[in-house]
Amino acid sequence: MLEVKNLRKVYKNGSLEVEALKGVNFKVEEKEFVSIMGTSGSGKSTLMNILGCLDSVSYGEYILDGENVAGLSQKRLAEIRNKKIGFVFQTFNLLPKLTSIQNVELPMIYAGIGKSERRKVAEEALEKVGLAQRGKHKPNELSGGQRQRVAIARALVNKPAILLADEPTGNLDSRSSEEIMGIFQGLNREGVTIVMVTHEPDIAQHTKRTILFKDGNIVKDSIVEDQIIVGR
Amino acid sequence: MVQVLETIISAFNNIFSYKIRSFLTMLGIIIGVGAVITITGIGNGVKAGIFSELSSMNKSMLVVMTNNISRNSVITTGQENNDHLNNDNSNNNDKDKDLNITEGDYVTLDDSKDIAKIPGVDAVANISQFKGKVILRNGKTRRDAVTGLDNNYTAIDNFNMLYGRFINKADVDNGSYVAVIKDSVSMDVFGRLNSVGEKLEIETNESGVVYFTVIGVVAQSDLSISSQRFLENNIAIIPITTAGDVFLKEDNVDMATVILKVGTNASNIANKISKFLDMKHDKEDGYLVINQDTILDMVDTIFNSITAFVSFVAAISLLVGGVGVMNIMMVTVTERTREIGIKKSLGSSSGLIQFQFLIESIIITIIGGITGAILGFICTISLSKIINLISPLKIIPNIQLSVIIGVFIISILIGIIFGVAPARKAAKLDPVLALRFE
Repeated sequence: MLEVKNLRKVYKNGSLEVEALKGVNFKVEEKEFVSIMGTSGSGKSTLMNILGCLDSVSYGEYILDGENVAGLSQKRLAEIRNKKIGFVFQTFNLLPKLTSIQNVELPMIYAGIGKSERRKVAEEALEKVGLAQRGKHKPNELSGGQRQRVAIARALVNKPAILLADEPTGNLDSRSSEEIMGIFQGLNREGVTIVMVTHEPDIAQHTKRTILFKDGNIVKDSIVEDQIIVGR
Repeated sequence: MVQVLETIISAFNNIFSYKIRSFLTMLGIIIGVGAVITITGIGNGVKAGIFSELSSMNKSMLVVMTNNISRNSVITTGQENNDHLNNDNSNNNDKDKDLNITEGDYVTLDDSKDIAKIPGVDAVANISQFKGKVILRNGKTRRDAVTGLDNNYTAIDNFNMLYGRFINKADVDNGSYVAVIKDSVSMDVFGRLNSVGEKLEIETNESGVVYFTVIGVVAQSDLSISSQRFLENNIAIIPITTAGDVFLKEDNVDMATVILKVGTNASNIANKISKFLDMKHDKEDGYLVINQDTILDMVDTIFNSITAFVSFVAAISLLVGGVGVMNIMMVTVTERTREIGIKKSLGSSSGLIQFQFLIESIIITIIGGITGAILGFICTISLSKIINLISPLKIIPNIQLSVIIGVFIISILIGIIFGVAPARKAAKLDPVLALRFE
């Protein structure tokens, strides 16, 4: 499903070179639910941007769904972001002027899907995250947890190969965080592959596997024992 | 297709969600387009007004007169005509002496008859002006212009009479003592508008008191512009032949207006007339033949250059408007950096982002262009109405479709030219940095 081989990312600032990722190797199989942990500056955000095709690879390979992403054109990368990746951000990143349903429809516009089809799929996605009644609300009329659920619905509409979540509970209270993790687990049970960055151990505890980063390297890659299952 | 359509819809939504800002951004374009359309519309209107006055019958005209005049005393109403109530005793012979004209220099009625036979000539209208004095009802006297015309003058101004009729061929042939007077003269002398049939008493230096039967009354406002000026200080219009008798001018006329047939070459005929008269009177450049087409061409050239220059100045405001659009679009791109980042993360291509901002600036300039065109249209119509109220010149507002289309295309071009830089800036944004933008 997803594989990185000897992945390195070097930021250049004048003559100063900072190596954010120092040769990372790992594989994520289909239907996995992986959390990536690490302190700030450990390289986990850089990794997330690369996995999300927002940032380029300096050295090494990144294979997503059988396609080597390193070195693809900007246009192709936009297509991959649109069709193969679903993003969930810490700050939700909904467009404030659009209603929930319009926000959810957005990725489908870029995929070239017609209006009636878009509306149908968006309604289904909102229903799936329990917001069927909030389609006409704008983000500022929703709570943080509801906004994040709209963002999850938006991430899912193009049926991506992988759902990338960057600190999805970072801006939420513990009850909403629990809700979001419940949704992720439900999706994972339905077969959605999820990679999630978090720095909270109890949130990582909801996933099946944890990769720990430190100074641009993987220091630990382990199966989560005694996983917390929401609703049980 | 879906992407393009939705992007255009979202561009409209963006523009309308910032109404005041969008309007202020458009203002430069609105004013620029409005100014260009108004200026060209009014400019063409004034030109068309002058043209329609100069060629009201849609025919070319030549004016033939003696070349032996050092100053122009005939066509315009000279200052000497302004001393209405003076009882000065100067006469036309004195005037002739001043101007150094001898009998033989004048164009004569006989010349006019010959000119009328030249191929391409439709008719010749003879004109002479003299001075006479009438007694007004209030006891005062008025010494002013008495004009000799013939029936052919109707080819220049069709003389819509208030009462009665204009001078006809029989009046001219018989040298009848009849007169056409203006409404103001009728009021001043007879105290009513309809004075047809009354006897008008004119005191002349040449023949003493002469009586004319009023055959028609014409309103000053019904005359063409050129006639209004030409007959401004007129007290009576009489047959040219009668005028020759009364003012002792015999066959001589001040000027002959030659009306040409449609489609004839005016300068060609002007040359022929000039040569013919010189030969007939054994002169060299003895006669002045003024070609109206030359005057029209001059007016045309002058107005075109004025309009072009002023339009150019107005077009600069369009350019300034374009810079205003670019400025606001730059600010908009910065403000919406995060939105751009989000859209890119969701799979919007750089090309689509660029298109979004480009189409926004184009829509702004198009709406500005349309609003400006409407504004320009309203300004042209209302300004020409105002000018027509206060000035005798009738402006015929003329907004050419080519100007509207041209200005419209220029608006779109301005949208593209000044929208490209902000749109490229937006397209080039790094999605990672854009998403972090606060």
